[in-house]
Amino acid sequence: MFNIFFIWFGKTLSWLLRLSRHHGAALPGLIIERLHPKFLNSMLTKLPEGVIIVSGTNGKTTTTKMITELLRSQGKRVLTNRTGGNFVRGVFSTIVQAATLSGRLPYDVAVYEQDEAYAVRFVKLHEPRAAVLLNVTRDQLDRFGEIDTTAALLQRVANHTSQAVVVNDDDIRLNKIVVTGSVKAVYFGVSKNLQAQFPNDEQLYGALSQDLTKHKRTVELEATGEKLAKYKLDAKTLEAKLQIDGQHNALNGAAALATVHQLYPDVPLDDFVKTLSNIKPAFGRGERIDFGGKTLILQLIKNPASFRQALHVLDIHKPKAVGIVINDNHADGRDVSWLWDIDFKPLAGLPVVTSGIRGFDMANRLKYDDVSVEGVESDLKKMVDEVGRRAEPGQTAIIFATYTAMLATRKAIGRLTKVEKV
Amino acid sequence: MKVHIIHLYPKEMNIYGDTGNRLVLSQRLKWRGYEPIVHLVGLGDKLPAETDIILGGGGQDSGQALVIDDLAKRQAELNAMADDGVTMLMICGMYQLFGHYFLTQDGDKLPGISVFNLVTRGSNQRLIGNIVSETPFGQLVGYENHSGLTELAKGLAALGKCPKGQGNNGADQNEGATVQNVFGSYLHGPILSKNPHFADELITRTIERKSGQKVQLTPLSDELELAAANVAKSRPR
Repeated sequence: MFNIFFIWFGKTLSWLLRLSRHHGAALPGLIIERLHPKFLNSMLTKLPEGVIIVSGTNGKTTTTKMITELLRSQGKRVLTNRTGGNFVRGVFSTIVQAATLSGRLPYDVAVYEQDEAYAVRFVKLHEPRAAVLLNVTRDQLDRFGEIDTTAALLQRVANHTSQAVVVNDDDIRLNKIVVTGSVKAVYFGVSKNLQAQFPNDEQLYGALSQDLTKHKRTVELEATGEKLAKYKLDAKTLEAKLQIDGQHNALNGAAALATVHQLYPDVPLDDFVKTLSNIKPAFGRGERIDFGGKTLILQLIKNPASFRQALHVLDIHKPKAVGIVINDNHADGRDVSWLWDIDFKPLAGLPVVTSGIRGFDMANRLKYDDVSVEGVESDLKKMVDEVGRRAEPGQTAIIFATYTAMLATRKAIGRLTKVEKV
Repeated sequence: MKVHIIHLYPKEMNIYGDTGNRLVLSQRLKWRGYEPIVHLVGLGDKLPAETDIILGGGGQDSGQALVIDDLAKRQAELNAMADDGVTMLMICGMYQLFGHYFLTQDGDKLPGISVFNLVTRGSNQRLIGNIVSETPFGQLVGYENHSGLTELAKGLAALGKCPKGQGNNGADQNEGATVQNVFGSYLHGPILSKNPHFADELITRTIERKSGQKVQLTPLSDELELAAANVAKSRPR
């Protein structure tokens, strides 16, 4: 009964906020989280097939999207937080929006991404059926302090997961996560010959490759090519033609396949792999936007690992110009020291425009890698214009942006051309 | 002129972008016609015969634990070099280990090499945020992130002064330490990236020691560095 009250309250508040042109998503969730935290558990336990949590430093949004679409292709009704809102309050809001006025939740299963800190909060409120743990790399250390601390948070997530913990077996910290009782640990990773292309945090700073105790893997990424991913599942090798660039996303595909195969073993693997081939990039994560016949790629970057991976796509797209937008708001991480952990020489020779609150930091960083910067443009619309006009129709330009910078840039692009609503 | 830059423990102590200090010094030397030569010195590696600048960075607690035994073996050598006027810049975790010890929150005592007359104690608070410190070499702008609280012994000069709640321990407004040509600091950013005057101070001292003559460095255009520093100063902590 109590729940219905909050659903009505939340829906009314959202409606009022929208009416007054406020961005209405977060506030109702925030209020309900404060007043009635048990709402989350009592609503989510209604889902017959439970909740899947996706966490880790990089790849959460993309992997969440992959799992969601793989399940939808099987006719499942999936509840998800598709805008990459990592906060627990965002989950409260999605439930309020999705619930019927009589308090039902007409879905089969939920897939939620949560960052490492919020995932711990989430699992204390509701024990998920499965947790997918992608990787831990240096990221937002102003929030988490150390990488080891981040890994310890994910162990706590594993402790509160009821059925399966899906783990990246090549991550030297996550690989050591322990599960107890009837909970199953499910592993994914890359084959030995690909290992060199997926350095972990230590190896990036010169440490020798560590000998890990490798586990038996449910899914292994065997080979990648341009838009191609070969997966070894059980004893079979299956090929997917991915629409999402980058081999790190091929590995996110392995995580998604391992998860759905573990939870839905009766679905033929071929079906899942076929669906995986049709999935488009999540918004702002390598999203391709038509810009008057040119292609503008908007790529979220968050930390050294993700920026480095993102720079790999330069080989594929051969962009004519590059924009880099760096903010230092709370959601981006206040400390921008990490920009010095990346080698920017791949950008040499390309016209680069920087922007964002820390646009000067970025320009200064590039200077020390002998990459010349065309300018620091504080107006995002002008920056988009400047980057876009350097590409001819049929050609590509790329904008890399931190989280809040990506949202702002997407808005700016929306004022110049059509972007999909999220 | 060749300038030998030694980076101590780049594999173990490299968090928060401190590796950038190596790049900033190398480039600012190169842009002035010097020839920087970088040596990466890890566990068990010998220091090269010629050493002009030694750099050390921040690390995780686990990284510090990995290097203390190796560092202990270098205690006499590094102290002699410090006395001899070699330029050194130690940030965060390595700054702590250049003191007498780091007493962790769990009660473990990580011995340091006593180049600095200071001690560090782990705490359950973390000093995190943008920070501006006033030094004899001008303002230093950076970002601190540490839970170890450092106290300088009487007679050891702080590198700079900062507002309360920040710096070495949050209490005495000290930030960093300096003796001879050795500098310790909690500032990441990395510290030299937005403080070109401080980078040049290190370079000047190094070249003067090498050449035995007064040096006037060729001025460089530091517009981007200073613009970035100005923005950082205006940001919330």
